[in-house]
Amino acid sequence: MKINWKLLITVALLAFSVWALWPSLKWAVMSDEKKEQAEKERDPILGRILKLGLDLKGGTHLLLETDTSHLEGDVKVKDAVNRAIEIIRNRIDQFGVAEPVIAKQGDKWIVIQLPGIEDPKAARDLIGKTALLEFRIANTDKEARRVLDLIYEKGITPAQYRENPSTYPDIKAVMPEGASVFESKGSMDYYVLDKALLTGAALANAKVEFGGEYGQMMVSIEFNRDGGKIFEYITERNIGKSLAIVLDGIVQSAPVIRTRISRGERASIEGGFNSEEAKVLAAVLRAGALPSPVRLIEERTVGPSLGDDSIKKGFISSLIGIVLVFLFMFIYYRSSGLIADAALALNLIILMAVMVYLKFTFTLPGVAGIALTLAMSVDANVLILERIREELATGKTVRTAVDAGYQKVFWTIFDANFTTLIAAVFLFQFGTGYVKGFAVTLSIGLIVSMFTAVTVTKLIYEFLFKRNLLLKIKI
Amino acid sequence: MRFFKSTDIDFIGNRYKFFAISGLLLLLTVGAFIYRGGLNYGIDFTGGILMRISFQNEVELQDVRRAVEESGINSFELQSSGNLIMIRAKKDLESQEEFESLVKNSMLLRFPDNPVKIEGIEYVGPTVGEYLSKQVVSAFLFAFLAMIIYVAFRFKSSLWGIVSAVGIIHDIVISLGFVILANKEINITVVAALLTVAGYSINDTIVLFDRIKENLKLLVKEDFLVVINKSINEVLVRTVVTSLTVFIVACSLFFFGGEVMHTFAYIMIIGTVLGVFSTIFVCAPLVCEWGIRRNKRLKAAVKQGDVRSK
Repeated sequence: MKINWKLLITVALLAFSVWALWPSLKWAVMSDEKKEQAEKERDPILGRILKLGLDLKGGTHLLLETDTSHLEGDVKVKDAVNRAIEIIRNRIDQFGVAEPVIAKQGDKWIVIQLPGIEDPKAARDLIGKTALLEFRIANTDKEARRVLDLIYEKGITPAQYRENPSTYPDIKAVMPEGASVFESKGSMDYYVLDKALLTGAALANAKVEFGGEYGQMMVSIEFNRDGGKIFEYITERNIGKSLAIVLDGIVQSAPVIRTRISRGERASIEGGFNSEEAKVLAAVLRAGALPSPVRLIEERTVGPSLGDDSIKKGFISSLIGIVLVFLFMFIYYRSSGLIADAALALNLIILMAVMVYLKFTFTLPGVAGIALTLAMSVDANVLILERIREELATGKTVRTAVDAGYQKVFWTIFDANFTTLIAAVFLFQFGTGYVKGFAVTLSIGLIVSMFTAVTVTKLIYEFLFKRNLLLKIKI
Repeated sequence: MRFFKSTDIDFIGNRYKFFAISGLLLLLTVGAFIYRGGLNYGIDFTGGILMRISFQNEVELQDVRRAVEESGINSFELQSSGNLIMIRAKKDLESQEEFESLVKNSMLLRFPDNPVKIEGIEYVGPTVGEYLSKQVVSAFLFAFLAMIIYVAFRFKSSLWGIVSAVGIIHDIVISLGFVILANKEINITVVAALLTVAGYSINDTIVLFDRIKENLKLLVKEDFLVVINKSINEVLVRTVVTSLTVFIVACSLFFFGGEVMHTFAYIMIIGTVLGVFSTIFVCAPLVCEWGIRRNKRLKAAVKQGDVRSK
């Protein structure tokens, strides 16, 4: 027996679609309480349902830029950004946001989407804790002392100077190269510190310990291999000087280096912490220390009502559009239009299934994209049907006219869809979130439509021919 | 059902009339551009803050403008769309909270019985705007290039590729003209819509080109002009039907889709009509002109008026 491959593939695709869409259907008819419970229990069904974008759900979208200018030479930008993403993910997880999206965009941008968080300030606070840890040697030269004098004289804080050094040209003039001025935690002591020799990127671990002469709280840190080497070198070269441990621009402690600290040994931060502070510091450093500071460069918040309203209108208008197209095809092409409609419906189902399966997010432009894609994929059917009409007009029998129609337009359909696909791919390439959603639906829709319009409709015709149901064609 | 039986319209013979219409539309675009004083870029490209607010009851945009002015915010732009009012200002992130509360308080003061609601706030940094602008330019450039190459490859002549690109540019520029005319800001949505128009426009062009190619093989005895005109007539029904379905959806999105869909659908409606127009009245006649210029016999014949396209 000859295997009907077309039929086999169609049935397989349909089965796949039902399988992929089943959880979403189940979810759609679930009661609100059950949904809440499932969310609480982190039910695996959550991973398989249709994902809605922020514009449909409400939430906050953030774009961060990692400032990589502080990185030491051998730390790669890529690693720093990836580490920052990991850290931000940890923090957001602790905050309990359902299904956040945290991803790299471009070289050093991080995109964060927080569904349900409509107060951007809360989100900013959560991520904004940079926990940038630096080790700097205190500079006690004449120039450095002069800098401190000037700062005290002017009554400004070190932070004010750091923010905008060019407004204080006299201080800038005496500032040693690469150095800057910092305040210390809980006191009015200011330090002039040379450039950072090590950052949190070199950390392997951090934990709370009791120690020192008086058994106070401290945070002990462990460096990774490279970090340990650098630390050993620093301590060896700077015996007698103070090593300041700077967290987010504030000196936590500045112990005097008494001996070389060899690799593998631990360093500790003594900052007069209470136990809570020490714990937080260790946690932030561990989960924690961003290898480089991040800066917010884009923020978009969609309120829930705008979301609700857009969902309703977006879906209704898309639905009206699709129904009108279905009706039009039926009225214009009669029974053949109905066959084309069947192909369209299948196109819609497969498109949705692929979107869910590949975990693409549905955005409003995506919904519009689906409606437009369907309208465009009608094109393939129209091409075929018009061609069949033409062939019938030349006096061919129904069977040969149908065959000729399909054969002659295949490459036209392919070319037309392929060029549109080119536009869609570039749309995806540059697109921000929303545009991407549209490009994805358009691309998948075009590919699926080539299959449904050409293969599936042909299959239906063949079936009808076999049963002798279609001696006369009405198109 | 059929809109029309096989047609026999002389498109090619009247090509200069249609070129004139195209020219007029392009002039309109330039006029709109000058009249509006250039493109009105949104914060996606310029960077800044965009705040969307809505009121329980309808308000006059004038009153809102006055209220914002009185709050001490001096450089801002207002735009209303449906029951949403958008306030745009070139501010940095630090002043966002201040901006938000200033706007909110000024609205509460001016419309005490008409509660204001903040529907959303967007901040885009200058680096993002710059990045997006670059991306958009390169996306269009590479998309065009890829399309030209593909079409040229499929039709074995770079002419067809270039002509189809001219058709797209024609459609995009005029669509942009309508965007400027409607005083809509250029944002990512507009750019996405324009690229979609491009994809749609070339789709249409390809179908016609395919038919011309097929007919050139079948109708070897006929003149180039006749073949092209016949091809246009043959695909006319298909072109109208397909465009109609896209048009229906675009209209549905435009009228029922609400604020978010509005601009996108507006451009798609114009783009759908333009896509058909450029295929029949720009791309086909351009191919035709090229054919005439290349063939000396045809050129002479056209000069003497011996050649009919019908």
